[in-house]
Amino acid sequence: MAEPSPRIMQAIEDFFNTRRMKFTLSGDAFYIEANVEGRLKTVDIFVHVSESSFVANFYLPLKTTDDVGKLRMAEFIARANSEMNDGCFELDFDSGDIRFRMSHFCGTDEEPIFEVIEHTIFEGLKEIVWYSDALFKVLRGAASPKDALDSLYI
Amino acid sequence: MAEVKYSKAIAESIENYLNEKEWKFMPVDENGVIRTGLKLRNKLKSVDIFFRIGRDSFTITLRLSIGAGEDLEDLNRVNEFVTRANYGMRRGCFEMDFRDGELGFRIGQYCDDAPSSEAVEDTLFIAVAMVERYGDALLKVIHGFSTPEEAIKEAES
Repeated sequence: MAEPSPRIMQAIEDFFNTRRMKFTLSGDAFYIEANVEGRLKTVDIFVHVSESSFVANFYLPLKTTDDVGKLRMAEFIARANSEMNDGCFELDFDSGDIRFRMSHFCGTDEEPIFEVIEHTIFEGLKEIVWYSDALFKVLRGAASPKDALDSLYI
Repeated sequence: MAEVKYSKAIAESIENYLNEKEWKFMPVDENGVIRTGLKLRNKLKSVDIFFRIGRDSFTITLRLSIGAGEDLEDLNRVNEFVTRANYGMRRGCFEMDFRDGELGFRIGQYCDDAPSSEAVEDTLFIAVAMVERYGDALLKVIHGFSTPEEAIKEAES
């Protein structure tokens, strides 16, 4: 497997330091615990760096536990993802874990600029917060996936 | 002054790339969309490709020639495949429209300026590679010849 790009690693580390975001680094992955508005409260973010790109996975503190719940959540995620231009929700069908993913291609000889990293991290958090109320409704069975999504626009 | 809907610099960069590679395409329209298509090596045979250009990004959508249908059981089965395929992907995601079963693959790239040819090519090639990789297994699920779980194992082996 190719080594993570030192340029991309440094650019991301510089971003977190400039923004005074506490992080830990293990191998090719940065970890941050982000505080967010609303019921989610915190989101764990892992930023993995590769040779020419980086991926941010945002782990939500939510889980679906039964088969019916997973189908409903998968439907909600499909509907939500269809509205987006960048990033997507993911559901692990085996564990029920829910996360959001953003990624960026930097190029083989380039590091991402500050604004690109900022967009990746904060756009991801913004999307999660926007959809969080609807996610809770679907998890609790309080609304159908379609109705939960529609409720965001009322 | 009319509102600028899309970045002309991004559009030009994408069109330059397509011209360089001798792709036939419909030039950017007033909504910032460039259209082209591609023959695939798998059983899906072909795909329509849309480059949707924003003010500071572009999104490539590959629209598949086959859908999941409109029956809820079929939609759920195909969506389980889509969901399993998307989990763990590095870039892009399959999409399914629950209203009509339409299927596609979407990948976006944020750009502060005109993207390099490398960025356009990487983004496009990943989308095509994912549709080629998962396409045959997806067809099996659509036609009921495989469960989503088995089909994913086959596609990812």
